[in-house]
Amino acid sequence: MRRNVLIAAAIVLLFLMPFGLDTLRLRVAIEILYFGLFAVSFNLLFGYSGMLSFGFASTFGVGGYAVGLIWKHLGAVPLPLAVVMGALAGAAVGLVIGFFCVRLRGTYFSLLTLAFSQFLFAVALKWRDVTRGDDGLTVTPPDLTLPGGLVLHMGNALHFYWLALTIVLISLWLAWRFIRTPLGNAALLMRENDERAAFLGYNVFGTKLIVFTFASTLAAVAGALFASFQRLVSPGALDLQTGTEVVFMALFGGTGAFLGPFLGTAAYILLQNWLAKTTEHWPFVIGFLFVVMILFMHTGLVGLFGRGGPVQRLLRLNRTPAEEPR
Amino acid sequence: MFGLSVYATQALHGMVYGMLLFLVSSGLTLVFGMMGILNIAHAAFYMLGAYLAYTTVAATGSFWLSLLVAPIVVGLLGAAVERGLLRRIHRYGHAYELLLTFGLFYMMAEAVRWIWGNYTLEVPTPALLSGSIPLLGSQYPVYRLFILAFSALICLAMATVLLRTRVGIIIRSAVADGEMVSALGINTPLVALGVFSVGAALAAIAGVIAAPFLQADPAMGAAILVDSFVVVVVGGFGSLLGALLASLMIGELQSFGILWFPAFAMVFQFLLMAAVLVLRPQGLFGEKG
Amino acid sequence: MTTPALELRDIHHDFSGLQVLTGVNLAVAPGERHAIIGPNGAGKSTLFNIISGRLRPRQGRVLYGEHDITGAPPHRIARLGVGRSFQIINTFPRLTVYQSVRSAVVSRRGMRLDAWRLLDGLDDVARETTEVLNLLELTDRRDTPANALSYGEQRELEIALTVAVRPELILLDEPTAGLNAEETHKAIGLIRRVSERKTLVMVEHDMDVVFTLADRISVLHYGKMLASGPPDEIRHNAEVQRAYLGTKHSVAGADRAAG
Repeated sequence: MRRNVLIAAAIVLLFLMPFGLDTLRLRVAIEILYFGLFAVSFNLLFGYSGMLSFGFASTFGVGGYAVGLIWKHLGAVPLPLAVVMGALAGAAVGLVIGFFCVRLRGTYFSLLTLAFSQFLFAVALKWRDVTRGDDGLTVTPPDLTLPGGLVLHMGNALHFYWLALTIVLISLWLAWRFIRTPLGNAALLMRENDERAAFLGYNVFGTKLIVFTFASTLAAVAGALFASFQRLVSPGALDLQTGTEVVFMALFGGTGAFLGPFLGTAAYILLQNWLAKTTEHWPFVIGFLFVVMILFMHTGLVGLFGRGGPVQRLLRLNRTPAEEPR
Repeated sequence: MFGLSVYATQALHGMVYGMLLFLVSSGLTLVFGMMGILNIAHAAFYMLGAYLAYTTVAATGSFWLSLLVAPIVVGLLGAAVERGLLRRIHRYGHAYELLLTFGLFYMMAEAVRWIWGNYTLEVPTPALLSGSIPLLGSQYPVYRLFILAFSALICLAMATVLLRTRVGIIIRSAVADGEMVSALGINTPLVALGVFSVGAALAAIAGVIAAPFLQADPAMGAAILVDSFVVVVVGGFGSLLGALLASLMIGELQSFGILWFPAFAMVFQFLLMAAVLVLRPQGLFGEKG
Repeated sequence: MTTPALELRDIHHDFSGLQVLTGVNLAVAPGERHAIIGPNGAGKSTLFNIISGRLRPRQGRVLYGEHDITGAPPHRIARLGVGRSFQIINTFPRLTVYQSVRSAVVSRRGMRLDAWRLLDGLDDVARETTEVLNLLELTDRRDTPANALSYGEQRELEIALTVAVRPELILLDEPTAGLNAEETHKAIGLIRRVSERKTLVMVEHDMDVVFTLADRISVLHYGKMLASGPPDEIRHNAEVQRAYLGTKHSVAGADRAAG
C-alpha cells in the first residue's frame, strides 16, 4: 500500500514539475520522456528476454514516419489516436522483422536486426516520394481538444509535456504489467534457458516473437512522440546512430531494473548536453564512459546502488551472490 | 550499353576492394570462430592503420615504413584489448563482450576524430607505384594492382602458415573446437591472444595499403564495418576460404551494383546478409550450430 | 502388452557418419519403471535426446502411446505429457527455485501466453507450485536462485522441473550423477515417489539405483540393444555380464542391491 502512495505522489510531482522549469529545460524533459520509453522498451527485449537488437531504431522510426504520414494524408487526426495507429504500424513491422530474426540467437540475431534497420534506413532515404528522403518529413500534430473544452496546443511545450507524460506513463504501465504476467515470465525463461523452457512446453519461437512485437510497438509509440515533438522525422531516426544510442542509454541506467533504462536516458541526455557545452570531443567521452561502465559497472547506475552492486559491496550491505532480474 | 573494357575494369575494381575487405575480415572471422566474439572494434583497427600511415608518411616520408609501424602498433593495441579488457568481462557473457567491442569502436573512432581532425587526409601514393599502365583498353592505376598483388601475397602467406605449420594447425583446431584443443594441453588463451593481435595487425596493414587509394577519413571505419560483417556472415564464421570468397563476392557486388543500380547499391550487402542469415545462418563454410 | 507407453522402432542414428545407434527397439509398458544401462559412449544420451525431441533419428520411429513423436519439436512432446531431466544441470540460473517450478506449473496449466493476468496473483498456481516444492522437499530453498544451490539441490530442482508439468512419461537422464551415498539414497526415495502410477524411463550408471527401482532393464552396448528384461534376467545374462557388468564383484553387488 505504501508503495502505491509513493508512486501516486511521484506521478503528481511529475505533472507539477514543469512549473519550476524554463522552456529549454522543459524541452529536455520531454526528450527524456520519449527516449526513456524507447530505452525501457529496448530493455524488454535485452534485459528481460536476452535478445540484443542493434536495429531497434527500426520501429522507432516507423512510429515517427507513421504519424507524419497520417497527419499529412489523413488530416487532423487527434494525437492520441494517431499515436495508436503509429503503434499498430510499429507492431506490424515488428512482427515481420521479428518473424525472421527471432529464430536466430546471439550475434546472428543482433546482425540480422541490424540488417533490417539499415534496409529500412535505405528505404526512408531513397523513397523520396513518400518520405521526402534526406530532407525529412514534416510532422504537424493538430491541437488537441479535450472533453470539457480545454485545448492543448502542440506548439506549447507545457501542453506537450503533459500529453507526452500521460502517454508515456500509460505505456510504462502496460510494460510493467506485461512483465508480471505469465508471458512476461516466459520472456525471462527465454533469457535464462530457452532450451529448458521448450522442454517444459513453451513455444520458444512464438514467445520470443510476441515479446519482440510488443517491445517494437512501444518503441513505435516513443518514435511517434519524438516526431510529434520535433515536428520533423528524417531517415536519421532509423539509422545506426539512433539504434546504438538507445543501447547506450539502457545500459547506462542498468538493464536489471524496470526503470533502469529510464534513469540511464536521463543521465545520458543530461550528460551529453553538459558535455557538449564543455568540449567538442564529447562523443569520445561518452564512448569512453561506456567502455568503463561495461568493465566496472555493467549493471549500470541502478547496479551501482542496488543489490550486489559496488556501493553495497563496499558497504558490505548484501550477501546474495545472484543477480535478480527484477 | 557498356563496353567490355568497362565491365572488365569494374570487375578489377571489385577484386581490389574485395581483397582489401578480405584482409580486414580474415582476423574478424578467425576471432569469431575461436572466441565467439564478433569484434566490432576490428574496423577501428583498420582505420587506425590508415591514419598511422598518414602520420608516418608525414613524419618520415616513407610509405614502406608505415607498413611496419602500423601493424606493430595496432597489433600491440589488439593484444592489450584482448588481454586487458575482453578477458576481464568474459564471464558476463557474449552480449557484453559484443557491447564492449562496440564501445571500443565508438571510442576509437572518436579518438581518431580528435587526434587527426574530422576531415579527410590525403596519403600520397608512393612514387614507385604511382601512375597508370594500359590495361584492358584503358589506363589502370598501378597502385591498385599493387593492392591486389600485395593482398594476394599476404593471403598466400596466411594459407601457408595455417596449412603447413604447427602454429597454423593449432589455430585451425582452436577455431574448430577450442575445448578439445585446451584439453590437449595447448595454451588456448595464448592462442586467442595471438590470433586477436595478428588479426588486428592484418586489419592495420589493410588500412595502410588502402590509405593512398581510399584516403584516410573518419568514416572509413564505419564504411568497412558493415561490409566486413556481411563477409563474415556469408563466408561462415571461422572460415578463411569463406571470407575470401565472400569478400570477392561483395567487392564485385558493390562494383557492379554502383554501375547498374546506383540508387540501391548500399542495400545489396544487407539483403545478402539477411538472406544468408535467414536461409543458411552458418554461411558458405561455417560450422552449423 | 497393451499399447506401450513408449515404443522405439528400429532407431538408427549417426553423427556425421559415426554410427551411434543401430536398430534399437524398445517397448515400455504403462506404469513401468524402466532403466537403460550401458557403458559410456553406448548411445544412451543420444537415445534420450531422440525420445524427447532434441534430435531427429536418421531412421526409425518413436511412439508415445498412440502418437508418433518422431522428430517432433520438444515443446510439442512436452505438452503431450513427456517430461525429461538432463544429465548436465539445465536450469534457469538466476531464477529462484520457486520461480523456476512456478514456470513449469504455468506451462502445465496452459497459461504460457497469458499476457494480462498478474502471475503473483494466481493463487492456484502458487498452491500447485508449493505442492511440488513440498514433494521434492525444496520448500526451505524456495527463494534461492538456482545458481546458488548446492549440487544435490540442483539435481532435485532438475527433477522438480521435470515432474511439475505432471508428465505421464518421465524421462530421467542420470538423475543421481555426482551424488554421494546419502544423497543417492534420498534420490531413490524421491524418484519412487514421483513416478508412482507414472511411466518412468531412466538412464543410470549406479547399479544400486537401477536394481532397486527398475521393473525392467535394457542394456545398450555400442549403439545396439543387447538385452531387455526383468532385473534377474539381466543380472544373469551372460552376454550382459561379459559386456558390461564385467566381474563377479559387480554381479554380487547387483545381488546385494536386489536382495
